[in-house]
Amino acid sequence: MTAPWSVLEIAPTDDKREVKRAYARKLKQTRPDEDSVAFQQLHEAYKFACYLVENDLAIQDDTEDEALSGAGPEVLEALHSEPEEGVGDPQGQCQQDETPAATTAPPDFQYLLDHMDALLASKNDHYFVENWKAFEQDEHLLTEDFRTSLGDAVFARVIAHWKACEEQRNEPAMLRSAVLHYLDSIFGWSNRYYDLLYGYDYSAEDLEFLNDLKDYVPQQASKKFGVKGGAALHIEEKRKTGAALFDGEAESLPFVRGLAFVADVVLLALIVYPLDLLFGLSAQYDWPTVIFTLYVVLAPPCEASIWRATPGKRLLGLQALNKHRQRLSLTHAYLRAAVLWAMVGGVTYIDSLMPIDSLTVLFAVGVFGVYLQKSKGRFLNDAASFSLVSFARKPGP
Amino acid sequence: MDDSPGEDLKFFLKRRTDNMAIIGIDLGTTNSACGVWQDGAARLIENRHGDLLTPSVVGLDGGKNIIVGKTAKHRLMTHPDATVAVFKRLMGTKHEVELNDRRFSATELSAFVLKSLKEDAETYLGEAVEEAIISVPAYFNDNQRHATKQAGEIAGLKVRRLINEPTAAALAYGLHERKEGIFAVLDMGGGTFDVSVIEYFEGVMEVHASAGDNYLGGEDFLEALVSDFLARNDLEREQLTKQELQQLFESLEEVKCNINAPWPKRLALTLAGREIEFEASGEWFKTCVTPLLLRVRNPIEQALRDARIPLAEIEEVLLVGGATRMAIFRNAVGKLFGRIPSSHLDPDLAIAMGAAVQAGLKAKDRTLDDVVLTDVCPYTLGTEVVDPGGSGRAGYFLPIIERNSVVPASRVETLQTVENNQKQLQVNVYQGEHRLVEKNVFLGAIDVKVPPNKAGEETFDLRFSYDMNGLLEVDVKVNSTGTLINHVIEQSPGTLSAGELERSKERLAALKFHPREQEENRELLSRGEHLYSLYLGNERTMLGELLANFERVLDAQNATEITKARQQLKELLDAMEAGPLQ
Repeated sequence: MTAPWSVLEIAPTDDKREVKRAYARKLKQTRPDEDSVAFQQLHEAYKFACYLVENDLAIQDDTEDEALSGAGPEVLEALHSEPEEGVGDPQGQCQQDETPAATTAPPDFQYLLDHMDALLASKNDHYFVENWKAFEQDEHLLTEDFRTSLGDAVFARVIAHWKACEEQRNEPAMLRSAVLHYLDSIFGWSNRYYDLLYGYDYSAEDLEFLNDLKDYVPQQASKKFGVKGGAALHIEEKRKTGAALFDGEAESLPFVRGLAFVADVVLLALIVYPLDLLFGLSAQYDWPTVIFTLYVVLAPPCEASIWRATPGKRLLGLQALNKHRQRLSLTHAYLRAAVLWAMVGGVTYIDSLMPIDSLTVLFAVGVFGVYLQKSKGRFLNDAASFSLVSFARKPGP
Repeated sequence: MDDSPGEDLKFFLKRRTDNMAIIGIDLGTTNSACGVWQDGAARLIENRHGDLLTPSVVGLDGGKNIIVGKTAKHRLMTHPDATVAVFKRLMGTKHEVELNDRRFSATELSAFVLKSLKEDAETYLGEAVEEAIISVPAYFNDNQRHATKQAGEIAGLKVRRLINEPTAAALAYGLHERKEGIFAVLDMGGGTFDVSVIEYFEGVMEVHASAGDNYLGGEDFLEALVSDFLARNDLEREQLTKQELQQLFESLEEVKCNINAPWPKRLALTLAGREIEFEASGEWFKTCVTPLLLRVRNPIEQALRDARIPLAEIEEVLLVGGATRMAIFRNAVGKLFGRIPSSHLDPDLAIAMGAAVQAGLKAKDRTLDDVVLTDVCPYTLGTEVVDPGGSGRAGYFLPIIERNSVVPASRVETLQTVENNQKQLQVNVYQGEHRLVEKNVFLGAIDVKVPPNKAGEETFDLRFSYDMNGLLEVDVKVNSTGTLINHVIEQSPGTLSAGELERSKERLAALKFHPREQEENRELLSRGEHLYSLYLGNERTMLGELLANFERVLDAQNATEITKARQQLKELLDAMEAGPLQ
C-alpha cells in the first residue's frame, strides 16, 4: 500500500465515506491537541485521499494491469514512453547533451534517474517529499559536476513530465510545489534558471510551455525572500577592490599613511609651483604654510567623495571612513581635518614655549606610538574625530 | 463574621483539584454565559439572579465595589460615568475606560465578568473552579486572543483553550442533533459576525473555513438606529447628556429587539429640552440597517470559497447569536443561501453550550470519547519581506500560514539577508490578507543577530506554529550558526507582559465584589434607581422614599427586616416595570 492509504490504514478505495470513516477512526487515536505532527500528516493524507476519490483517481493505484479509466492510462503511457523515445522534445535533447557527462558519471547517476522515472510514473508516490530523499542520500551529490549534470537531467524530466500532465489535463500527477522546492534546494535550479532555459534548443512550442513553468518553478519552489535588518542596522560598506599598491597589514599602515601624505604634498607642490612662477606666492607666504593650508581645504572634499581618499591615499589604496565603516560626510571630513590641525597646532605651540625641541618631539612621538600599538594603526586624531583610515582592499588570506 | 470556615472550605476544595471541573465560558459583547459538561450533557449555569445570561456590563459603585451583570446594566443610565458596556470591542487595544477616575483596560473589565461567572459556577458546582474554556470570535486576531487569555488569568482562571464561537455553536448543535453533514454557522453576536463552514461526520467536527467581520454585530445595528434617529430629529450627539443618550440607546434597543412585532412602536422622549415623538416602523428600521446587512455577504462568500464547498452541498444554515433573531437578518441570509435558516438551539446560549462541550473534551470526559474537533486558522499569518521583484523596498507581506489551514499548523520558510554584512534581521510578524504589510495587523517583531556575510549568503528558517488556541509561536533558526530563537508573540500592542499582568492582578484585588447575599439587594436598588429616572411626579417621589427607606433597612443589618422590605420593594418594582403599555 502507498500513501495516503497506508497512513489511513485502508486499502485504496473510491468510496468517500470509507475514507472519512478511516480518517475519523485514526483521528480519535491522533488527536490534534496531543500529537500535532502526527495529526498534520494524517490530515494531509486525508485531504489527499479525498482529492483522489473526488477525481476518480483512487483506484488503479500502482497496479498498472488493473482496469484503468479516465485520464490515467495515457499519462502512464506517456510517462513511460517518453524517457525511452527521447525524440523531438526537450527530454531527448537534454539526454543527448548529457551523454558525455553520463559516461563519466558513476553508476548511481542512472540509478537515480530510474528512481525518478519510477516516482513520476507512480500515481501518487511523487506527492510526498520523503520519497524523493534518495537524491540527497547519494554522496556523489557533493561533487559539483555530478550535481549539475544530474540536476539538468532531472530538470529535463520535470519539464517533460509537466508537459505530459498539461497535455493530459492530469493535474494531480503534476509535481507539488513542495517537491519542486525540495529538488531545487538540492540542484539549485533557481540560481541558474536562464542557463537551463537557454542552454538547450527548445522548440517554439516548448518555449511557450516553459514560460508557464518559469512562473511556477522560481516563484513557488525557490524564491528566497529577504528580510531587512530594521533601524538599528549597521551595514559595512562594500570594500572596493583594485587600485591599491599595498595589500597591507595594520602594522604597515602608519608607514603607508606617511607615504600617502608625502604623495599628497608632492602633488600639491606640483600645483603650487606654477602658481608661484606666475604670481610669486613665495614672496608673500612661506611654502609649508601654503601647502598645508591647501591640504586642509582640499583633503576633506576628497575624503568625502566616492574615492573616500585624497589622491595620495587613493594611490596607495587607503580610504578614510567613519566608525561604521561608511563614507565620511563633508562636515565630518572637515571636522577630522580640524582635529588634526588643532593637534599639530598644539604641538607647535608647546614647542614654541619650551626650548628643548627634541624632548617635545620625543614626548609627542611616545604618546603617538603607545596609542598606535593599542589602536592597531589608528592615529590619535582619527580616534578624536570618530573616523579611521584603512586599506580599501581586504588584506589577503 | 468569622471567616475561618471559608478558609477551611477553600483548603478542602483545593485538595480536590485532580478532578476539578473545567467550565466553558461564552464571553460575549452584550451577554456572557457559562456552562459545564456534566453527566454526558452540557449544562448551563444560572447566575446569582437565576438567569442564564449575565450582561457583559461592569460598574463601580461609590465605594470600591465592582458590580457586574444585570445590576450594572440597570446602572448604565443612572451612573453612566461609573458603568461600561460593549468593552469586548476594545480587547487587544491599548484603549482604557475611565470609571469614577479609575482607569481599566478591556482585559481587566472582561476579567471582572469572568470572575463573576467563575463565582456563579463555584456556587453551582460546590467546588473551586480554576480552569476554563473561553470562546472568542473566530475572526479575533492574535492580540485579541492574548488579551482574552489574560483576562482569564486575572480572574484566576487557567484558560485551557480558546474556542472559536461558531465552532462552539456547531459543536453544541452537532452533538445535540447528532446529524451528519455540512453546515454553515452564522454567528452574529453583539459585536462580531463570524461564518464557519463545518462538517460533522463519525464524531468528527471538522471546520473547513472561517471568515468574519470583527465590527459587525447587534451593537452596530443599534448604533445605526441611533445615528439615523438623531439625524432625523436634527440633534447632535454632543447636545445630549450622558443620561439622555443612554435613555435613547435603551429605547431604540427595545425597538430593535421587538422589531419582529407587526406594529410600529411609538417613542416619546425628552432630549435636549425637546419633547420628541417618533414612530419606529419596520420600514424605518429596514432603511437604517440595510447597509449593514450588505456587509454580511462578504464573509459568507469568502468562507464558502475557502472551504471549496459549493453552496448546494450546505445542508443546513445555523444561526447563532442574539442579533440573528432579527427577522430582517434571517430573510437576508435566507435569500443568500436559498433556504430557510434553522435555529434549533437558543441562539444566545448555543456558544456557551459548545464551550461546555469543549470543556468536557478537554477534561477527557468518557462520554465524549468519540468526538474530535479540528479547527482552522481564520486569517493568513506571515512576515515582512523585501520586494521580491528586486526594487529593494521592504514592506511586502509573505504569507507563511495561509488562512483556513487546519490547526495545529506549523510551516517553515527560508529567508535570506538583503545587504552585504547585514548584522541583524528584524522579523516582523503580521496577520492579514493584504499584499503590503502596512494594511495588515502587526503582531510583533523579533530581532535576530546574524554573522556578517554577503547579501543573500546568510539564510534563516522562519517557522510559524499556530496552536489549537489560535496563538502563534515563531521560531527563527540562523542556518550558518544554528542559533535558534523561540518567540511566542506576547509583547504585542494591547496585551500585557508578565509583570504588567501581576500588577493588574494586584490592582484589581483591591476592588471587591459585593458579597453574594447582598447582591440581590443591590440589584433591587439599581432597578429602583433605573425606574426612578424613567418616571416623573408622584411616582418618582414615592419611589425615592421607598428606596431611601430600603437603604435605611439595609444599614440596620437586621436580616428578617431586610427580607421583608426586599419582598415589598420587589413587588412594587415589578408592578411599575410592567409599564403603562401593557
